[in-house]
Amino acid sequence: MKKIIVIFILFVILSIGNSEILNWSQISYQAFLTGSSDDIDVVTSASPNANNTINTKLKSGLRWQHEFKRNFNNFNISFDNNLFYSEKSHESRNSFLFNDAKLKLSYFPNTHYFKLQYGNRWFDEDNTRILTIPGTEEITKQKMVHNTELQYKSNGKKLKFSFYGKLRNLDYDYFVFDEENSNDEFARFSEWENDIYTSAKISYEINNLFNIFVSGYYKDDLNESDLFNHRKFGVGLNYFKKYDFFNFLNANFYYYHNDSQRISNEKTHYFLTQMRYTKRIGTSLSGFVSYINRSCYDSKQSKLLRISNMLRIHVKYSYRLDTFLDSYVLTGIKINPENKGSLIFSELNQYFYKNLFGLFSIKYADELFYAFSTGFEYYLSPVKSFWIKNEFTDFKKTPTQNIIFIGSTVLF
Amino acid sequence: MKKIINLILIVLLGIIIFLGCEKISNLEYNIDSNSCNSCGKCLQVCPVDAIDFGEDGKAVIDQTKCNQCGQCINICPKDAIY
Repeated sequence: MKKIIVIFILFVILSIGNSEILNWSQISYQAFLTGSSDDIDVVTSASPNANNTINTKLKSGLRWQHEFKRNFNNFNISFDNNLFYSEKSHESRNSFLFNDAKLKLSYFPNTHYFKLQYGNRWFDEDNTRILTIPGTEEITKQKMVHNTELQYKSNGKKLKFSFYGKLRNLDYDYFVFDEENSNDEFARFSEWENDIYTSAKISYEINNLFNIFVSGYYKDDLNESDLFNHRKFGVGLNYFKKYDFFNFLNANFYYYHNDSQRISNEKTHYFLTQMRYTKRIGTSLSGFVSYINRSCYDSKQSKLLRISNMLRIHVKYSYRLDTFLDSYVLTGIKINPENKGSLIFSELNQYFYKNLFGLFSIKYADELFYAFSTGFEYYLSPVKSFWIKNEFTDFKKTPTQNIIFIGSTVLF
Repeated sequence: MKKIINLILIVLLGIIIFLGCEKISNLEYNIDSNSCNSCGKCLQVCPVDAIDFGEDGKAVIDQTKCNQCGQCINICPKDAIY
């Protein structure tokens, strides 16, 4: 309750004033159905008596998302909130009641950029699953995550510098089997997990097309163990060719040295190559081709090893059937053989009649899932709409799911 | 159009070359920040708390925590995980 009051007060304070204000709000109801005929246990407590057996019937949920932005001259303040509640169901998720809030302040005079951000993610105890942390094998339950972030960027003519730091505090409980208790009970202890993430990058523009950069990353698990610490240091080359406002080619190559107990020695020498070409033909046809390769050099075996390849091609054709909003057809392919993530997809957003749009999308990943969704969106104005949508997914390895969403989106 | 075809051919050549290399012993998942829409669905399914938002507001996988279960790749509405 306290939390809701604080969020409300913050919202009112931020809304007062005459500067440029933008609010985006979306509220939706969801009805979750599963193809499974078996009940499941949603384990939310280490106590064997407290597990909930969830039946396969229809389960309801609600989501409210709000984004607030206020711009002054060189100053920006934003507040995002995402509140979700659902009856416990077969849906794959860690928590059935949580709130995720973020407050961001940014200041950008001339060639500088400063950002300070605080994020808070709260999980309701009775609606949050028990998780097992790898490495320590602790049985845990998350209660709250605090993220405090600081970012600075300097964009000089030739020289650019950026720094990022984040302190992440996870408030959680862990459970230990109580051998002295004859009722097979678990003893519960509260604990904090504190991680600090920092990174810095310096880049130098060689000419209009190329720049070189060096970067470093350091993650420290501030708790006693060094197991989750991670250091990276690398150099790279970036190519950027802008043909006009819509058409450009961006490519970069990055080598870095990895150092962490949790990352295999094979990945000590790591290579990342990325390319993206964006093209627009006329006012209707647009698309891009993107390719990412990750590979590493194993010095023990003296071999270059591939980690993953991803090729993505998107094509979008937009057309206007009315003076209202664009209709479009989008289709694409993603090829990712190493992670079995290859798929094809297609999406249609079609104007029907009097501000009513129909949505249809289909996605097929041979080894992971098959999904399609249909829906209708009715616009009261270009910034105010009501929608109904049905999403069906066949996850192949887990039961099918069908979610019906009814919601409204408002921009003001 | 010729540029696009050339680029696709270069990329396909790159894939063929790299497919010729031996695969690493264990999987690694990453997030394409250009495709990520910051919806946070991957954070909500990750069983080991390995995903959070990074400096550009997009989801990032902490490789020291990830157990390669692949739940995030199933759930991403933008297919940004690879």
